Amino acid sequence: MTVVQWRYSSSHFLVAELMMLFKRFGLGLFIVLAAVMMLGTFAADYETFLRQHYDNPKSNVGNRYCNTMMVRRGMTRPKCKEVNTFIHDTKNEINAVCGNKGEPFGNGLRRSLKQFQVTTCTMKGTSTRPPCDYRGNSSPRYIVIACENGLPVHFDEGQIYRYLMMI
Amino acid sequence: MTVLFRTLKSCLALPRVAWAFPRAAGRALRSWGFPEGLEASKMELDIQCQEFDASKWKELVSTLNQHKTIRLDDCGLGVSHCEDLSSLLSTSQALTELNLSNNELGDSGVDVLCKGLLNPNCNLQKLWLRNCNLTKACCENLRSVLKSKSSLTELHLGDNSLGTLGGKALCQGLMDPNCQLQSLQLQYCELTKENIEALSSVLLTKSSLQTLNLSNNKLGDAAVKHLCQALLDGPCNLQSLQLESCDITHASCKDLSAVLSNKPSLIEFCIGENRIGDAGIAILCQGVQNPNCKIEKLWLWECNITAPGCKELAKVIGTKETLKEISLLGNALTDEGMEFLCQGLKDPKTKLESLWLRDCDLTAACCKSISSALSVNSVLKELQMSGNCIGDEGVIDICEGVRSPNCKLESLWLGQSSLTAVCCEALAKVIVEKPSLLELDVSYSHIGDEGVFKLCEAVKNPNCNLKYLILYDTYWTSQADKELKALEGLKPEFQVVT
Repeated sequence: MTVVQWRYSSSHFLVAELMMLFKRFGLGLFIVLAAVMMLGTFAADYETFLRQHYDNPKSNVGNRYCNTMMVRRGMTRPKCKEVNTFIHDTKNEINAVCGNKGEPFGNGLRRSLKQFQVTTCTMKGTSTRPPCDYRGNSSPRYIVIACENGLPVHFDEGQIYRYLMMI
Repeated sequence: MTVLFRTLKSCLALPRVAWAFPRAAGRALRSWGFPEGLEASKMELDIQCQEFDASKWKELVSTLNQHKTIRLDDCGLGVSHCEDLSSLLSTSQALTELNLSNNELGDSGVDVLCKGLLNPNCNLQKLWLRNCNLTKACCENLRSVLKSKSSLTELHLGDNSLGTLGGKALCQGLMDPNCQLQSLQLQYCELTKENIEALSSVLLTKSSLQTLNLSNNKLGDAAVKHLCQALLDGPCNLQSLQLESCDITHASCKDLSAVLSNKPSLIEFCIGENRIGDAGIAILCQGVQNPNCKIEKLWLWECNITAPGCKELAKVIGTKETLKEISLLGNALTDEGMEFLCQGLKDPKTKLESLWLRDCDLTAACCKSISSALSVNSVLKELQMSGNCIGDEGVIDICEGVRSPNCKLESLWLGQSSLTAVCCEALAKVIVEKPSLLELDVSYSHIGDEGVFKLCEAVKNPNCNLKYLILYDTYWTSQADKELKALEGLKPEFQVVT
């Protein structure tokens, strides 16, 4: 069995680095860097949002887009995600839904003013244990998201789903 | 062990995308430790979604001969990589499993691999080439492999446009007395009804085949009837038959029913995504009810089943003692249908362990019956109710049944059910009071921080044995996030899946 760890934890490394900078440049820079790190932790949800919901331009991965993309974006372990939407538009356009290109939609959510081109992947009849088999549905949709610090951190599949049911 | 290894990731390679894997992979590695004591013959390599530059590939190739199984799934491999793998096949007698699915090998890549496969040194048993951009052109060489390689027991060729001609070439290989193939996977291969004639000849003469997957090929009723006849007349002891999305209607059901009642070897039967309807299901159920039928898994998702079909299925659920799993996902069963199914679940003879009911048009109105069925049923382990508008009220009712001492549920899926924080108190009670519960899914809900806090509090309870709390696309603020993250440190076996 050849196993090499995929991603080393960077936090210890970062702390050591910070201590060194603190010694060299004093408290001022330390505070700035600490603030950057804190923002970094807030941005973690934005990273998750991008990993799960942003694919622009739409990846050219052959005829089984959903099966390939759901695995590549880490949404099939340990349990298959049953529904997931990929948005095919720029980060700027998606982020703007948190600002002037979106409107409040209740429950702290925001709905886009324009329709986005999306692909919604829905699991077929398999169980939720991998391998996961999906079917894809591409269409223009209004998106409903939640924002923190002006960045999207949550995609509301429930809303997309309701629209699909209505149409 | 295989399952464990599948969760571990090898990383000699460059990540295909920066976010290819969830952190869980790393965690699994740390908590389970590194199996250093394994002999070379038992070694497994499992890499997914990573690309190799020339030097990393060279480095990897130099280690490949020590592995018994190699999985390089979606690794950006092409013809040049096949040259190295082909030499490996012709030299490494230890290699028994090779999975190269989701790589653009193309016909020329597979032709190169076949050279290695045809070498007498090669002892490969299982070969995966799913979604490798193959056409009929490589099937000639694969036919030769099937004819000469009696070690080969599994061949996975799904998601390749092999077409009628490709399928025919493969069947010629299968007909050879040398061929001992047990599992053939040909889903999404653009096979047609013309392929069934050749396949039927195989089934009439050979007995080795145990698993046959022909899903997502436009076969139609006439071809399926032909196939069933061959299964009935031949020596074949098929264990798993998969005919999902094959344009089957109720017209094939009599023949399929005859297979069910005459083939006690058959334990898995998947015909999802076919317009079978209630009349068709009634005929299939007759086959299942035959004492000769030993079916364990019935996959009947998106089969146009409604309430009358459930009446028949309830009898099967209640009395068929071999039946362990049934999927009725995507059928408009409605509350009326669910009432019937609950009768089956209440039958003391039922042995059903898994019931899949996602998107079945259920509402809160049927949840009291589900609850009372759960309170007398001690065999059901998995209940998947996602995508039904049962709401908080429905979930509260279901939780009542789960809390009953009889209920031994291990996995409960309630995503996309219009849930809010209101149902979380009931869910929290289940988490604390039901030590059998290992998986709880509340994805796509609006439980918010309030709901998350309640669930976290319950997970902290020492009685809670929950392994996975599944919360895909569910929103909470960073405050609730801290609570969730703290849980993972508190209970190493517990994981929030987002």
